[in-house]
Amino acid sequence: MFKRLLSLFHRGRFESDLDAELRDHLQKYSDDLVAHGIAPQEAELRARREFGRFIAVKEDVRESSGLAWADTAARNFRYAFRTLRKNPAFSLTVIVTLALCIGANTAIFSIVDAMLFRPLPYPDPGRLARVSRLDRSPRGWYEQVEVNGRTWEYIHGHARTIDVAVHSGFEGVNLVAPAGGAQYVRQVRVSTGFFRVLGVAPRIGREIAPEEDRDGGPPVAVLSHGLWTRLFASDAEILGQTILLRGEPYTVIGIMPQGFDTTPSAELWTPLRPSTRGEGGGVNYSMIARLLPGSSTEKANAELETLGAQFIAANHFKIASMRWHLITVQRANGDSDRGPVLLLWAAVGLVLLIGCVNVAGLMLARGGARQHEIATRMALGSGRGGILAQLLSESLVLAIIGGIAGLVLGSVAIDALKPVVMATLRPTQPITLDTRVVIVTVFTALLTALIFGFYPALASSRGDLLNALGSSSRTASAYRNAWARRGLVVCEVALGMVLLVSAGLVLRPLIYLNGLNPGFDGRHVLTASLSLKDARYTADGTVNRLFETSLAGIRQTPGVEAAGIGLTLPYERALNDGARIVDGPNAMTEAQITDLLYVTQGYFEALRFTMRRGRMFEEHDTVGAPLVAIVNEAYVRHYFKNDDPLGRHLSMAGALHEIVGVVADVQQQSGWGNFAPIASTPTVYVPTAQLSGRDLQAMDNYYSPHWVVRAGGPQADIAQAMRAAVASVDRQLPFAEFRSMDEVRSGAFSRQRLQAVLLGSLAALALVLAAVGIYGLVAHSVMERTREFGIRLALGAPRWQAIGQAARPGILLTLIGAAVGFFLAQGAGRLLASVLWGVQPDDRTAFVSVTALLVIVAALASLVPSLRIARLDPATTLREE
Amino acid sequence: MAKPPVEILQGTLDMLILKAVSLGPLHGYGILLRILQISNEALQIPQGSLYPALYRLEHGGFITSEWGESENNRRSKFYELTAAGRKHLTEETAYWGRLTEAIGDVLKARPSEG
Repeated sequence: MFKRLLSLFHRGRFESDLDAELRDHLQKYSDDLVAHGIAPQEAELRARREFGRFIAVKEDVRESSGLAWADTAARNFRYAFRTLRKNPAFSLTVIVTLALCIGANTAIFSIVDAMLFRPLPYPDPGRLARVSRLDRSPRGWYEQVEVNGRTWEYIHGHARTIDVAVHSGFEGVNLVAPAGGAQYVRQVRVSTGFFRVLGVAPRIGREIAPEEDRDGGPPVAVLSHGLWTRLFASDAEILGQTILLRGEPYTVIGIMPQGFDTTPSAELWTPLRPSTRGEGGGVNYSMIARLLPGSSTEKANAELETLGAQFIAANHFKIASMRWHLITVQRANGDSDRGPVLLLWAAVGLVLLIGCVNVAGLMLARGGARQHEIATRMALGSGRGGILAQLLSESLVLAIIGGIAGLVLGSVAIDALKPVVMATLRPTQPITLDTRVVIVTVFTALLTALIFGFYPALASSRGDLLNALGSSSRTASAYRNAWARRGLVVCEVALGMVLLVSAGLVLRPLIYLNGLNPGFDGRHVLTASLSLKDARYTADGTVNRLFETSLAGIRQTPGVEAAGIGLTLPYERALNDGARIVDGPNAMTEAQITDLLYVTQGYFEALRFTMRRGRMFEEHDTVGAPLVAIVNEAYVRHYFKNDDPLGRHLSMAGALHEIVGVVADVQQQSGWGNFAPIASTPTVYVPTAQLSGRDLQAMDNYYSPHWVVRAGGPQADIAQAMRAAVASVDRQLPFAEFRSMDEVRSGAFSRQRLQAVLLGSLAALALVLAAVGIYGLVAHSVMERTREFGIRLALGAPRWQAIGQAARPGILLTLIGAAVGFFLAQGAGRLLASVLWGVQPDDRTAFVSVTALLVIVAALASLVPSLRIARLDPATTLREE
Repeated sequence: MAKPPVEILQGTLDMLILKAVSLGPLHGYGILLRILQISNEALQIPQGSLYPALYRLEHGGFITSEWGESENNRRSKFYELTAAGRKHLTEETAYWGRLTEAIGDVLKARPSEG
């Protein structure tokens, strides 16, 4: 075999050598003849004649040298190229179909791979897992990936099969380098052993030690390579130096290697100091585990199950059934995205299937048209195997070209999608066109080639020799595969219908969300947050001075109309806290969970909230003055019913606030008790100036307050003015990220939008492919029946009747396909139910509009090729045969 | 004295080529001449069928080839027997001997005189 390949490599040399050798032979012979007294010219002719045909001899030589197979293949491919070039419409349709399908598959698979499959970038990632907790609830098993301090302590103290660590979620905090200059960085707090469990040691320095991970232990920090490069210019001297984090000194003890990151992504890691109280009292930790040597997932799960039972018994919990077990990190990270991502994958697989069906139909149609040619070749002595090989090489050529084009399309699509997907779905790993994606794509292309190349190849090479030869190309033999093609079109339409309905179902909630009245005016509003998780901002006086002074500075900037600060923004998630109505007919016995945020003066004005009743917060609503609050209409609807809320009192954190105003609802990311992505939830607003330092600190610990500025003029100038205004109070408070309110709004349902856009594009692709399939079928049958239609027209049939007859099969097949698809789509709708919101899986609007769209497109695809008949000249047609 | 030409049997051409080159390296045309000469011009090999046989033998590893200079300073390809080729030739010669002997015996047999 090796020799064979080698001979292929030296192919050019082989040919020229052979040629030289044979010429040498001829020369010698004719020289000999001349020596025997024959005239030179005559000698040359005779030598040639006796030698035999040069080409035939060469062919024999090649065959005996074991090169015949390569020759046949090369000949097949050359011939395939020529045939395909002669039919540009057919070849282009197939190549474009394949390119689109393969491109879409490449792009989507890259996302799926990054989200679900690619191993984590840590050593031996197969032995990493998260510990999660399963509880049986009436609705099935409920999985909780986060754990509380007691769970952590128990597992940490008892597990012998796994090495475990815990970490917090990410927090945006302020960092001040020794050289000065404040930065907003992403911090994750981790327990000792965290990096050991991940299997990555710091590039320089060390990881967090047990004594640093205890209450009162020395504050230390491990930096990411990126932060080290960006902020400390890769200076190794930073080790042992002190940085200010949240206004407190931390000693840098380690720098992680380049490319290392955690989930959630972070730029620096500090000790978590896990506890069973405070933060550790709730489920606020994530646990990561590595199987110890000699252990396995089964062994670890068995141990965790035993430990779980002991844990319940030791604590006398009355929990019916609780189980600890290991789940893969990807699964834990992207659990909520798993459904939508798998759905996308299924959808793109469906598109590929439709594409293959389409191509198969095209090949079949062409096979029918080539029956005559194939029969002729068989009559001339081509073996069936040879013809099969020929047809398959045509498929292969198409698949290879289509595959390459698809790969190019796919990488373009990946580049286009990457920023959106990274921002929206936050996969644990970068989305790239890596070798795995390429392998999957090439495999898809080859598989496609085999699938669609084989059936038509068999069908047309089975053709009855005499039948095909004896008759013209426009005969019954061509109709033999018509049924198969019709079946393919029905499949295609049915599959397309499934995709279209799914896209319709996903699109409906998005349309609803987009159509919701925001309740405020976000145009020309710039916003930025900064973290007050800072040791220097614990007193109400300091916080309020920061707010008031910076706002005063911003308001002096030319172009600024209004400026204010609020704990959270519309379209984002708000803090949940308890509030109790103490007086009136709707007085509560217990506090109810509500959205709560503090706002300064100017917040409502900058966002142009609408006041419904009462007044806004005013200058005199400060410490010492009666405590006030403003509620939104949803709160009134929910809790006050018909009672007038003005003058009623709310008890919050032990203080009584009088309700002085009612504002119109704005959309908020819903939290407690509401499953819509966006809704108007009951909300209470309180003035910042009346909160105690403790209240402020507690709230600022969860959320970073947002500055909102309504202003004309370039955003960059306003941002600069905002930075300057804050710096005038405190140089060490960096703003995180500047966004316009429009960006905040579109970010609120970016997931739904991404999903709808991707699924919508795939459905559109399916629709186009189905249309191409129908068009191909009808166009082909019109071509086949040209003579028949010619006769009809000659006999006086009206043209419209002939056109109708030509178009009818396409429309009929569409209707059958749509009927089949209708049932399939109902099944798909049920599968989709988990990712849908606000729409029934059998939503009538989606089904009806999709069916209408499909039928219109099918009718067009059938009519357009049929219109050829309108231009048909019966006389010419009849003469042609 | 030239004998009248005879057709060569299927499968014997390889053997003849091996025998021809066993006496020393030869180019293709030289092989034809040598076979013609040894057989007293009884064995005339069709020129077209020589080269496929040569390449088959080379592909099988029985002969090797090398470009060299022939008479009139022309570049020609010379074929030489390999060790495998020599072994093959010995086996084939022995086999051929047994075959012709057996066939000869059959053809020589007379009705028994008894």
